[in-house]
Order: sequence, then C-alpha cells, then structure tokens
Amino acid sequence: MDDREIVSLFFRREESALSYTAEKYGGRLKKLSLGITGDRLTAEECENDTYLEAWNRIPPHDPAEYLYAFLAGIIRHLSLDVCRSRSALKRSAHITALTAELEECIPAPDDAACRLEHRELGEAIGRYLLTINEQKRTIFIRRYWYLDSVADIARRMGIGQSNVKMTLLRCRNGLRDFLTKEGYNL
Amino acid sequence: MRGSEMLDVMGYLPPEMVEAADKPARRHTWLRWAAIPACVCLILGSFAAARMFSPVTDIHINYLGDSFHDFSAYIDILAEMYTGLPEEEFREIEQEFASETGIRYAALTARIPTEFKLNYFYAALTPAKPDGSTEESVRDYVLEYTAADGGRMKLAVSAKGKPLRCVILPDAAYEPSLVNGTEMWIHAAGGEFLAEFYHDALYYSIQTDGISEALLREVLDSITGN
Repeated sequence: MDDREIVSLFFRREESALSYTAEKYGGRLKKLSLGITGDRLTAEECENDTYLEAWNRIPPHDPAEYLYAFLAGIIRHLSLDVCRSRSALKRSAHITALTAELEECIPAPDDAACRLEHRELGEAIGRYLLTINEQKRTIFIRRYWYLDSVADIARRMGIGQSNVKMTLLRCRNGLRDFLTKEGYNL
Repeated sequence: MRGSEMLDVMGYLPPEMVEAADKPARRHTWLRWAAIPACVCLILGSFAAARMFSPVTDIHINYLGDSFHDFSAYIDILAEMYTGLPEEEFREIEQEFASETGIRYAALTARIPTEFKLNYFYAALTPAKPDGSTEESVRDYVLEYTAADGGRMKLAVSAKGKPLRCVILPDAAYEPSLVNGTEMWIHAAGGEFLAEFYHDALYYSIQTDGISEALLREVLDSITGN
C-alpha cells in the first residue's frame, strides 16, 4: 500500500493503518532497533511502541511524504532510551563509542549556558551534510543516525572499513569546522 | 553539549536525508557487468599462470664421472665452529645468522628431513686482506649432517653469493633442473651429488656423499617447497 494511503488510514483512525504499516515497514524498523538495542525482544517491544506512538502523533503530523523516516525516527529514539535506561554493558559500550565519536564534532566543551535547541542544531548538521557528496553523507547518516557498525557500512557501501573510518573522521572534522564557522558555540 | 546529546540531535536530520541513506547503495551497473568478463579472464588467466608458474619439478642430473676431483680447487677460508657453544652465545649466533641470511636458523634446520642428524654448524669466513682493505667476515654458514644410513650431507648457505666450495662447475655448461619451480644445477660424480641453487634470496650449495638420489630429492623438495 502507498504511504499516502496508509497515512490517510491513520487520519481516519482506522486500526488497519497499524497492520499495513507493520506489513510494509515492520522488518526494517525491527532491524533498526535490533542494531541499537542488540536484543530481539526489546526490538519487538520498541516496534510495537513505535506503532502506538505513530497512532498518537498522526494527526496532527502528516508524514505522507516521509513515513518511513518518521517511523524510523520514533523507533530510534525509543531504542536509544532503552539503551540509556538499562545497564546492558555491551550495548552501552556501542553507544559510548558513538557518542565519543560525535563529541569530536562539538566545537567547544560542554557549557550548559550556551546550549542550543536540538532541532536547530540538527538542521545545521543537515545543512552541512548537503555540502558533502552523497556517499559521504550516507556513510555519516548510517553511522550516526542508524547507528550501524563500521563493518556493516563497509559491506553496505561495498568499500573497505578503513575507507569508512577515514570518511567518518573527515566528516566529523568537517562538521566541527562548519559549526564553528556558522558561529555555533556548543 | 555532550556526545550523547549529539545522538539525539542527529534525530532532527531532515527525513528525506534519512530515507535516502536507507536506500540500497547505488552501484555502477556497468561495473557489475564488466566484472563478469573480468572474472572469466581472471579465472582463465589463473589457469594459464598456474601452468606457467606452478611448482614444477624436472630433474636433470649432470653425471661427471667417478669423482669431482677433476673440478676441485683450493680455497682459503677460516672456519668458526658454533656447535657446542654455550646456549647464550649460540643464541647470539642464531641472531647473526638470521640477520645475515634473512632466515631463522631453526626455520632452515626444520626443513631438513628427519633422517639427517646435524653434526656440525660453522661459518666459513673470508680472511682479512693483509693490506687491511677488508676485515675477516662471515661468508657462508655450513651445516654438516649424517644420514641414518651413514651418508653425509654438507649444506652451505650464503646471502652474499654462491657458497665457497672446493668444486667449481660453471652453470652455463650444464643442464639445469627445476625443483618446485626453483632452477638448480645438480651434478653427480661417483656416490656424490652437488646441488646448487638460489632460493628466497639465499644461495644454497648441497654436497652429499653416500646419499641416495631419492633422499637428495627429498631434501631439495623440502627446502624449496612452501
């Protein structure tokens, strides 16, 4: 079923919207959550919570043009919350590694007084990503949005792991410079 | 701001960007198609290369009569015996050996068939010139073995050139052999064999007395094999 039709079912409050959504995107969503949480049961719970959250958000949201990204954003957020709230050492190590990498993008040390709205900063990062080529952009998003491992990205892109690591390093440095030039003091 | 918050910030990336990054990676189709004939060429090429470069053994022994005596020459060398040295000193010699030859002593001796027992290990030194222009230095390393049936074998290796020996035989005058793809010259006289070759950046000379041709082949195969 077309995304627009699924979203219209949500708007009409027809519960079949959930089954169609699960049928079309369930596998990808569960895979995304599994990549973050590392636990199949937790991933299934996150998937179900995602449908519930979507049910609550549509309307007023109208993600007809980007339904998968909308759902993926929800399940990513839920999965990260699960990781933060539990003490699964292995997965925590995965998240810790990712956050350490992302800290390299921050132009200035932690300072609560000059924190920006997350949304505004997210849009700035989006602008930066438009300045780099599609492959680099995909690698960056796969790593820091989908939280894929370097090995998975390398396999997906058909390139070497060292190539992925080097691209990520350059992107992080580039993002830090970009944010500095844009006047962000995080 | 901390890195963990940056993970949340990433959640605000434009949805179209997120969607685009989840599409299967685009690959150049022509590359995939080009890869097929390339693979075929590679496979065919591999077979051809395998035929050309595969370990080939084709032995021609040059029989030179009853004795190597007619081809012998006098050489002036000094021998420095290492057999029987205290362990600590022998370790230093092993290090020198590895540094001079590029192969570990243990790795070389491990290639010799177990029928052989090592009797002596020594270095052949070139003496210092009286005018002082060159100092005394190690030229070859020599290992002397006895086979179980009483035959003897002297294995000399050098990275500096053909090991010094009493028998001088110009390679060009004789038919070479191939053992595992390594070109070598094998001569026979009476019950003796002399095999000379260059393998893995090292010159070898193997002289035997009372050793069967089969056992010699085994030695050559073991040294030149992978």
